[in-house]
Amino acid sequence: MGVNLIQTGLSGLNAARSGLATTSHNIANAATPGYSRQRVFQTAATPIHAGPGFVGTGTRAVDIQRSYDQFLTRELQLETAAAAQLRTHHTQAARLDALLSNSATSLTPVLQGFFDAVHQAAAEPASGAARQLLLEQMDRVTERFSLMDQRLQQTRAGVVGDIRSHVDRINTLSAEVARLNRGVAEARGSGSAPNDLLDRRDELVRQLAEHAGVTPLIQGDGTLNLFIGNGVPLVVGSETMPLAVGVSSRDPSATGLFSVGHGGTRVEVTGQVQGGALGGLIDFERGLLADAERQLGLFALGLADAANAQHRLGMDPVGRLGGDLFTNVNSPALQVARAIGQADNQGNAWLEVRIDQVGTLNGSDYRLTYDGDEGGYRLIRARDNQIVDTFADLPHSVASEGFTIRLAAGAMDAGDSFWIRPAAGAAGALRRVAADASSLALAAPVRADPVGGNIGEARIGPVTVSALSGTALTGAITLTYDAANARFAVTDPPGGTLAYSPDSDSGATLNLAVPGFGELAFTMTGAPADADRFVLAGNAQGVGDNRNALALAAQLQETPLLFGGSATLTEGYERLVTEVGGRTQGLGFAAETQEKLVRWAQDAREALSGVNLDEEAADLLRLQQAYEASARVIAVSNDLFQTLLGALRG
Amino acid sequence: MRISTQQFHQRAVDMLHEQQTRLVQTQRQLATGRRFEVAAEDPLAAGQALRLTREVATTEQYQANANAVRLRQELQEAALGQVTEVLHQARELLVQAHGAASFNANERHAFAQRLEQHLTSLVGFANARDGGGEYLFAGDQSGTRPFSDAGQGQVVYQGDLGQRHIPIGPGVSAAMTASGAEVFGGVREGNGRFVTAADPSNTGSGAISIGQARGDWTSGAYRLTIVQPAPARPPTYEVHDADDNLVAAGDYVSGAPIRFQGAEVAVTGSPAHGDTFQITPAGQRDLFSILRGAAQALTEAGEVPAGRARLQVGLNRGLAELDAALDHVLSQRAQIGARLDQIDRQTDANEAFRLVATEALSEVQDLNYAEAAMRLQTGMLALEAAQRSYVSIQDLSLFRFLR
Repeated sequence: MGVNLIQTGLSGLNAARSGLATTSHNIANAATPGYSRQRVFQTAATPIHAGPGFVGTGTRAVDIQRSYDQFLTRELQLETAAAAQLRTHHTQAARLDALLSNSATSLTPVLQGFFDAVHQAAAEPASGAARQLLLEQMDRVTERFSLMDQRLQQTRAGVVGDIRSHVDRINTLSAEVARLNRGVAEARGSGSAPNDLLDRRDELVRQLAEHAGVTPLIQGDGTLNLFIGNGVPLVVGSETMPLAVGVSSRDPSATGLFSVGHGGTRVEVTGQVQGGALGGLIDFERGLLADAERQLGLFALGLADAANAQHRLGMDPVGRLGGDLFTNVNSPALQVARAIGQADNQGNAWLEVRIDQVGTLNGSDYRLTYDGDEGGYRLIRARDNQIVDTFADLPHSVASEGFTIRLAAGAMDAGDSFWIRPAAGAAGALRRVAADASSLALAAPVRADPVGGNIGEARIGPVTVSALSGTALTGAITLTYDAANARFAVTDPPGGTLAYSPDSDSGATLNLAVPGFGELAFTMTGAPADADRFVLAGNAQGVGDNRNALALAAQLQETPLLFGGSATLTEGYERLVTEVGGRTQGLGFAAETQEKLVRWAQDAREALSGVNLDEEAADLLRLQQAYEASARVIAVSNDLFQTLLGALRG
Repeated sequence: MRISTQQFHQRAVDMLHEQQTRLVQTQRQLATGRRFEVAAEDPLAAGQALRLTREVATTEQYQANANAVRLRQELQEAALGQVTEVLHQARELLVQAHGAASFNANERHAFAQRLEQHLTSLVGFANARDGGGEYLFAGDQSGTRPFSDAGQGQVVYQGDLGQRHIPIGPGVSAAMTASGAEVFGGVREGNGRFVTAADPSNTGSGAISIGQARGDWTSGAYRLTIVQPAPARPPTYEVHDADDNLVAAGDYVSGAPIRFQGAEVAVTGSPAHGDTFQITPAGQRDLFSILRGAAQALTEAGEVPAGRARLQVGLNRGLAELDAALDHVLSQRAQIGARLDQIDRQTDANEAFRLVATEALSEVQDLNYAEAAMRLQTGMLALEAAQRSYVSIQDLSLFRFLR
């Protein structure tokens, strides 16, 4: 059999048409995300041995392949996941940074205003205006604390909302991948690769990487299994195991992610999730956000504790000892709020946590576990996962961490655990307790009264107090010097004597315990004459006395109250601002760098798989010409046939 | 390298976006004048700025305190100036009274009355108040009128010994208020070491000087008795201590010094047999009782020789104590002067520190306008170049030539 010229031309025509269709497909999808350009692979048709040798019989389009590299595609997915994580983390951190460092929302200006007001009241303790201003500045401070607390709560709620929508999106996308898996498996039956389905599936995996880092694993039948982290399945063949959002089983104050298996079994996978926006949100929620919340609570505790303790050592103009200025750090509500029981606890225990030393608190949370009578209680510090204390009974004082755990009601069962958060609720609960200007105890509660007729030169210095019982000093304590015995006789309560010899004790502090009141300390200088008297009395009318106001200012402004005595209140806050700022800046830099890596990965993938319209235009011309040439072959064949017919007719 | 069409457009848009972001940041810096708005833009500088802002605020608070202290000290100084004036006038009166050779009861009462008037105005100055109604000399009881008349011309101090200190610099505090007990009290009686007095039952005209004490004065109560059993015999004196031990004795000579136990007194005039004079350790008294004591000496003196002698003793003592009182007030005023000086120095230091801190703060957080303006210019230029080049090359497509 001879060579069929028409068949040959037709094969060229068909091949050119396939090529034109593919090129048009490329042009149409030039802007489709994840699309890989496709090429027609042609081979010469089987030749026929005729006469001089093998004569060609035209061409055959054998396959349409996409320009694709699995490594480049995977690279892009990985970089995308990392970039999304950093970008999300940075966005959240930047918002927190703005909240902390913007003067309209930060603590610094209101704290400074409060300290200034204390100073002003110290300069003019008798002035009603200065006292009123102090009250108002206290309100500004508590308002700012609760504003920041609310903002942090809103941030947390926003983060949880974001986590939910990302999880929803992940579930939708993974369902789509499972569906495509089915399509791919069916198409594979035809023997050639379903290029567009594969592209779409790769693009879905890339989109998934925006939400969470996933590991794809190609199976022999062309289906793609997806895993989160190390082996938590998300898609297996055409099945999906959706993610769900709940409360973390480890830390009841944090969000947990769960993998829902067949039959509704839930396994927590929060720790496995890395990369993607979800990774960024979880990092932020458990890192910067939780840190900021704890530290804000700690500042509130530090402020309230120091202010209250100092204020209680003072006396108001009406002659009452000072009470709390701010909400007590161990108010019943706060004590209960500090311990959260695990959802699956079997026992009926309610715990209370009492702060003993605010300065010892280090800004960590804790986990209290109970292993029954044999194992006892174990307290684990969350920040470094260290066991800080083991004990057999409650209540127990954990001196190294600054608090006491008590059983409010019920009992823990073996295996139960509680999450202990010493700073929880403190910022939101901070309120002014001092009712009015006349309850501000700016004066010291004891004063030295002048006594006429002393012969000696001795002078008594300011009286300081400590360990007050809460009852004001009533009556006067008279110290009468007994020169022969070098001591003071202390008359009226408490009685007894107080040794003082001018040569050795001048300028030294003398201590005097007054039962029912507290401890007094004062200095005596110079030599008293025999029978010289000094009188100590309650400072009921001491409206001009500012000693307690000064002590309050020093305590709040200069005393390192926080973090084991390493920072004052303002220093603590400045440290937080600098820390969050530094972390945010670092995240910003890292996100920027990662975006570049994404671009490079995109460039590498696009260089191989992307559609270049100029190239397609050239192909279009080339294929058009090929089509025209093949058509010409058919025309020539027809001419030949006509020539032959004409000759026969001849 | 192959460039895909999509990539070509995407990169161009990315570039424009980047340029715009930078431009907006520069523009925001220029609008606010700050190098950074949130800590993340420059965490180190933000931390420093917070610290410096706090230091400036604290220094301003110190200075406000210093100004408040200065105001109070000036008020106190004004009041004490008046007090000095009154004391001078009272002293003049006493000198006049001392010099008047003969005195009748009316004249003495007139003098006493004028002293009482001085006493009243002294109490007035001691009860001085500041603009806010706080008493200047009440210690911490500044809401209570510190000096009041307890009857019989006795002025009682109602305040306390408190003194309000407020910080006017780091680690420096200044006393803002004063205790009336310190300012108006604490003046030593008599000659400062002991007080001499003539016994009211004396009948002679002997008057005792205020005396003086040497360094080795043995403090205690002594009794000097004139002994002249018979008018013919020359009078002698005996000094006994509180335990009735004889510590000195000798012939009495009017005006001659009598020395015992480190003390030296003199008796003038003609004391009678058995007349006694007391020498007791000096306590402390306040300005009011000094004036009151002198006024009492004037009113209580009689016309008999012993009465005149008592007046003499009283006036002697009054003069000596007024001098001590003037010294005392002067030293109080000197303290105020020293405090004002301290405040001046601290004000200079505060101002200098505030200046340094403000400059450092400006250095840390304020924008370098020249640099930022240049950055803006460069940014605009770069953006424009990017835009222009994009517009001119985005048009290049083979398809355009296929028509």
